[in-house]
Amino acid sequence: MTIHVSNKDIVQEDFGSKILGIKSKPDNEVCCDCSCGETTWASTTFGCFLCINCSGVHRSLGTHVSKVKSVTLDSWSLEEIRSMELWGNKRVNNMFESNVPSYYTKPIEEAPYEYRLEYITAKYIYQHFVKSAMPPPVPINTPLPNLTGSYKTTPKKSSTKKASQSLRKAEPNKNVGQVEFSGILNIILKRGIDMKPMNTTTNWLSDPYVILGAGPDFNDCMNIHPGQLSKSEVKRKTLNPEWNQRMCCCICSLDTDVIHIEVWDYDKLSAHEFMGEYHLQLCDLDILNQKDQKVNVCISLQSVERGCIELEISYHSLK
Amino acid sequence: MGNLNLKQLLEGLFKNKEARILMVGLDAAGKTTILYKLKLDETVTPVPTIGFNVETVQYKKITFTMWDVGGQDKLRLLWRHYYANTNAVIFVIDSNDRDRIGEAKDELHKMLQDSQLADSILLVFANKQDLPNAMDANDVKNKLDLLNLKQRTWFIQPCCATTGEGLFDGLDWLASNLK
Repeated sequence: MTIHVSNKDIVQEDFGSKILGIKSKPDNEVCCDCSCGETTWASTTFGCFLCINCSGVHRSLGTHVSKVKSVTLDSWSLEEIRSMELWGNKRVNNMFESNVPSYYTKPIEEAPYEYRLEYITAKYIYQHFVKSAMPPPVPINTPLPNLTGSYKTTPKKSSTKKASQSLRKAEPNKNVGQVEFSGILNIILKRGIDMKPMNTTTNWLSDPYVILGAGPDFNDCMNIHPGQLSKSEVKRKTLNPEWNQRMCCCICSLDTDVIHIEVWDYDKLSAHEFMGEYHLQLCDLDILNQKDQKVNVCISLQSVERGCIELEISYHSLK
Repeated sequence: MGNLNLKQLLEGLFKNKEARILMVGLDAAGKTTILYKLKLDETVTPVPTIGFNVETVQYKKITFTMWDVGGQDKLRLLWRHYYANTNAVIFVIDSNDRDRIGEAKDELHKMLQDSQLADSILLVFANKQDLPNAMDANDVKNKLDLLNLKQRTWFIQPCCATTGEGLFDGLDWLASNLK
């Protein structure tokens, strides 16, 4: 087998290592706008390295203000790399933060979006903090100076709902679009075996379908990562359904995330009936060490007398 | 009890049609903002999507299952994994980003060559119409070379995801053109 690599790919690959080299300078390892320690994003307009949250703010201002790129997920041109090398966080802040008034505190890692937006707008669009500029107006969303660094964060609601029978009603949680996923789980729902018959008045068969969601909490299946809940096809009149359906979901952590699985009996006219559940702790699967390897899993459904589900799972890292 | 059953009977009779929608486009085009504006009628301010979001949106008796897949260079390689059984592609354009409209055109035409998408219809959202320097829909249409898509049912809809303007007009077109 010959592996074909075009010249273009080689050139881009070199640039990729070049940009990582520039990013690893100490000044560039701290977010230019909120000083947190994660800088895998960059504004090529200003030449600074940013965290994902601040990059989200830069993007929302439009490309005529700031062009945002990922250090790891985008390809870079030579020109862009030169500008990142020429500027970098230290030089950018020497200019754009040379004269920050005391009532404008720099956002911290946990800063709410509104304050981040206000600070970044003042810093780059109005350029209020550039020396010799007029003193900027007092920000609206900032905490008072004596409260520096103590943003209110809403405590996580602890759900009192029973874990079972609730995936069907799970709704996307509040921080939609604000989650940084680490990878994609490719889940092939293969088949169900010896499932519970639900149509006990007619044929002693079932019309099963599977709901699958990824979340951070083993005990709370209502807590699903935004956008990561999906439903399989309904298989009619069977206790041994063959799905062979791809149902992937994004996850944040292979160590702590859980796949919540529920099986339901479809009914056109009455309420769907529960046919079992399972909560699969990903760390038990040991797929972290087996990159791109497929793991076959056969689970015995819980909260029901009988029934198994066969899955094939592989993991695709996005980092 | 009787009422409840009648209601359920009615729902059963007028069961929603289902459609699988793939929403792609370059990074920062506004795909996630569109998704959650349609789903929750809320303007979210998303961080870049690493991976994908999938949500169902009910509209005009159709259940749209919408896949919103990240647009960074290296994530575009993942798009093809979502092609199978796609009824419609929504391609989102940042109408304000004149520098990369050519790149968007290349990605669009490259994607549409895939045989798995042969029967999918195409809706182009010319997003960010609220920004000062935005190209209008006609301009975007020409720059994307849409008139050359001979075998394809397509439509271009100007919109602004943050206010929601134009989004449901796009879904209207999908609803009446999905087979």
